[in-house]
Amino acid sequence: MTVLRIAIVDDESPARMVLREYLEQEHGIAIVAECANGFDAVKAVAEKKPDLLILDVQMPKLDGFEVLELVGRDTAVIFATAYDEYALKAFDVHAVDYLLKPFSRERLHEAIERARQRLANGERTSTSASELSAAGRPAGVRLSRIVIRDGADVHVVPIDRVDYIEAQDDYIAVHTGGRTLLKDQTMTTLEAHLDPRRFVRIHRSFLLNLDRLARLETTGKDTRTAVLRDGRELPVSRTGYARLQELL
Amino acid sequence: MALWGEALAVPALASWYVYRFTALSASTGQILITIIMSTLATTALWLGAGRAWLWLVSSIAPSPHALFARFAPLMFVTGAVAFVAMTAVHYAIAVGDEGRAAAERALQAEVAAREAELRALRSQVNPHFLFNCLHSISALILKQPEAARRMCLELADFFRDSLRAGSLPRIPMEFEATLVRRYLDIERVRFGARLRAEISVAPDVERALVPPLLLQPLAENAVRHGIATLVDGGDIAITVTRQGNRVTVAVDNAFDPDGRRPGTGVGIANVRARLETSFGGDAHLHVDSEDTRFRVTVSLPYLEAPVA
Repeated sequence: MTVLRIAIVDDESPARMVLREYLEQEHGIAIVAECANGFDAVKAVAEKKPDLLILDVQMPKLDGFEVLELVGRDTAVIFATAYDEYALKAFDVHAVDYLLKPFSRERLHEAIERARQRLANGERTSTSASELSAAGRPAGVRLSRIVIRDGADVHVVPIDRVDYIEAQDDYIAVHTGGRTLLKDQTMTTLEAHLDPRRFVRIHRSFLLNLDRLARLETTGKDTRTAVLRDGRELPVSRTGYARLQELL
Repeated sequence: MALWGEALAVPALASWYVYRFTALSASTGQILITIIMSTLATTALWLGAGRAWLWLVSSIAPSPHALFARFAPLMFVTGAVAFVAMTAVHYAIAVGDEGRAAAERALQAEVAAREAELRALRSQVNPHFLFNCLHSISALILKQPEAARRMCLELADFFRDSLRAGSLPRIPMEFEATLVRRYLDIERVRFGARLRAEISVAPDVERALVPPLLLQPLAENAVRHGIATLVDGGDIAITVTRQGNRVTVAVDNAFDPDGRRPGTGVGIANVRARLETSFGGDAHLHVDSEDTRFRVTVSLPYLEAPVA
């Protein structure tokens, strides 16, 4: 049996303690990291590459779902929380299991066996975690911030600090205050969770925060350019211009 | 004369039918038309019956046809008046019944609404707090059995106190402060050094009467939406002071302004609603946040508990 490498993530020390105690009695596992917040969890995943995360939902900095969104598709996740209202969402994002605190050793054992099976079958989710996470979000819920992983670092960008978003193949580039951050997500799924009166698809590849728009310039017959407050220029397509006209 | 009485029973009965088939909820015009039509019909029938009776009697004995003809208009009017009067009496009784039933329904609804409100507002102690505590106890039970036992006892004390407090309309500030201290002691097991709290109740305000569990939800809010959002935790400062005939309660805590905590405000809205129920417009709750501090201030009238 291959050793299952596990990272424990919970901001409450007794909760980590009981996990450690239960896991000591499991065979073929190794605890490779113990984290008390979401940032540390993302870092631990990047550095230690665990097979399985046992994740609390409500934590400082990043919640459990945001951690899952950032760690990518190679890590299996078991959620552990006192709240039952996230269970549906957890399965939407392909969590292996959902443990309600307090849980028994047997219940944890069951969850670990399930994770082992899933990993042994080589079951990887075909879509990226970000896509799944976005899909799991209820349609009416607007994003209040975008979380982006950059190696072992995590950037949390509040939505009003986003200047514009650029589509780049399978990635999006989030431009914020002169910085550019890449995220493994498609423009369409992100756009679906942004306020349509605030973020406008001015071009196939550009989603603009309307607050940043200084003026529109006509550069040729049917071609226009959006000039941002900081002087940067973005192309505006014909449908993009129609959308802008509707809002302005 | 007996015949007259029996004859009057006809419009009385007929009017009852009118009332039964034309409910009060019908439009006024509808009711009027029904009454007029049925009055005419019933009275005509009544007269017709009298005429038939006279014809029957006249076959065995000579009878005063002329007399009947003379009295016919009078009889018609009497019949019509009797019919309308009876209908009016039925409707009057109906209106009385309906009014009483409506008043009773309104009262019942009000009592039910108030009960539901109180139940909802009193079940202040968040069930997730209990689940998390049980999880902590389960964590401590093998490695730190003494701590696990202490937590069980603290939890029992807290719940017993909050149940007792919740059954009273008002409790002394001192009691509420004890409740909050117990609550924070329990949370400290979960959060460890991350949770630092200080409660100061001025001596002249210890006996102030406050609605039960006024402060506890605010403290819980400070823990859940404040301390729990910070990697290194933070402090909660609770102060209760008196200014003449007013009491000021302030809960000031650290929080992560970049944190995402949906659901903030439910506890606060609840406290606000309870203040409204208890004091009407005489109590205020004010929320403000600045950088990394979140502050809730409650101002309420000073009412003193009698000396025990």
